[in-house]
Amino acid sequence: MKKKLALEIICALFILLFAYAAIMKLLDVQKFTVQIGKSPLLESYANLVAWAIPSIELIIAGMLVWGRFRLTGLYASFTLMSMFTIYIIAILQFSEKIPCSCGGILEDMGWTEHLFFNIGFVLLSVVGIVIYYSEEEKDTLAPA
Amino acid sequence: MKRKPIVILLSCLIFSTLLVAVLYALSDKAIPERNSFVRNYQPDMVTKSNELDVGYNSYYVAGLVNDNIYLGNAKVPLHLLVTNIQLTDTQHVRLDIRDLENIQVTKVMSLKVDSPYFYLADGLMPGLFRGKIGNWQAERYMYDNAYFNQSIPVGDSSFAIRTKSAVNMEYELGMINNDSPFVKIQYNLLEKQIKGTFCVDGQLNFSKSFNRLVYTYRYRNEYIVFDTDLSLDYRGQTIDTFSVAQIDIEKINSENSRNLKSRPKIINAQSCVSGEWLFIHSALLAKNDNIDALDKFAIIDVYDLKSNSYKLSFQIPNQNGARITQFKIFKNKVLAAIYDRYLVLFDLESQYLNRPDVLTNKK
Repeated sequence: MKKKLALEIICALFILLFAYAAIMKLLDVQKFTVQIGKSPLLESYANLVAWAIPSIELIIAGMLVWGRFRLTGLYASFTLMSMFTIYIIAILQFSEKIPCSCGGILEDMGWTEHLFFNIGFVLLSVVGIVIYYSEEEKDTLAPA
Repeated sequence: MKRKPIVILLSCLIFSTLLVAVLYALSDKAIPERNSFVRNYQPDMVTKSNELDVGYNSYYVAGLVNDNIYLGNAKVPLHLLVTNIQLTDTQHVRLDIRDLENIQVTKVMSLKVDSPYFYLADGLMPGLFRGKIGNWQAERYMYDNAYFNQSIPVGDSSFAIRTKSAVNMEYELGMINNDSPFVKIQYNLLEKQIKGTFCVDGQLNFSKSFNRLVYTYRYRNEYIVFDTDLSLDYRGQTIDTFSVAQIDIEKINSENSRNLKSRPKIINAQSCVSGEWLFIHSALLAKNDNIDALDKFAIIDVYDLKSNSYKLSFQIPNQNGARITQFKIFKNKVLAAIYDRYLVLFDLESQYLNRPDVLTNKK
């Protein structure tokens, strides 16, 4: 029962994170596009990425709401968050002066804080997946 | 936990790593290119003398007076650190401003120490304050109703400034004086190339003994030498050929702000003056530079302001794995540099800066 609650909290955190980040970006897509254009990794694809990232974030948030897609959503969260984390490591190879464009209050974090924040969420998604499987096992083992 | 989820997690991790790796591989990493000019290196120009861990990377060199070095702090504007030139004795000072409770000090307030005064200048407030070294209490002492984004005290009661002009919304150089008309803007000094303010960005310096102001452009090969009445002496050229700023600008509509796109081509990263010499930390490689020189050293080119010519270059190695963030030169003898949270001092061989002699590498 406790585990189930933990899973709900993890999913809610991800939904909150992705929905917030996506909406902040979509509210001012033009600004987000310009900011992405400053990134040496993304400058050539700024227009595509500016729409793709918030869209993917919203889709994943949606998947985490419904039970059927929840596992896929957790894997997708893991993939996206680990991608952001690796992106930060890659971007720091260029310069520390490149601004973050995550949207809203998330922009106020420094690069190091951001790195730990992301790693935290990566681990959280793994925990979520582990709980999901153990709950599933319990369900199938339970007498009909 | 079963094996399957571990396999999926690993695949996801490999997928995201690969995607970023591909982006990284495709990105233009701006590998530095050698340019056609040749530097005249003077290998024994600088010798490291002392080093001090000041604990924070927000310190900057504010002045050198009577063998004491004064460091200001960008994050704590009213904090000052004094050290002797041997870097053996440090002292923290809290600066005071008269009537401080009625003043809103902003984060752009900057400190400059020049015997017998210290100056605090805040271009956002705006406010100009001065106090005696040792007494450490500053007060308003001249007209200070003009906004600015760079400033240098010049003489008894004037400040040379760079300001955003209310007339054309572009950067201009000017002077704040204590008598009417108080603010003088000279519109013909900075020459615009692209709309906005980035293309004229640069650094303003003042040489007290030479009595000239020097503005060095960041994105093109030019510096402007002018006097304290804002009349132009000449426009000097640095040894490279980048006469037009290579920058891309994009506008954020909602904020009505202009932004630089990724990695503009920096020509002159930083500059300072000492006597009749201009020292420029260049961001370019010469024909006779190693391809990795910019990763290991700061390359400083020295120009003779009196004869408008290139004199020599020298390299200062990175310290403790950090790049130089700021440097100042005093009396052609001491080079004080900030490397992250270290203050490092170098002795300068000033005999190389003697005149007259045969210029070996005049452009």
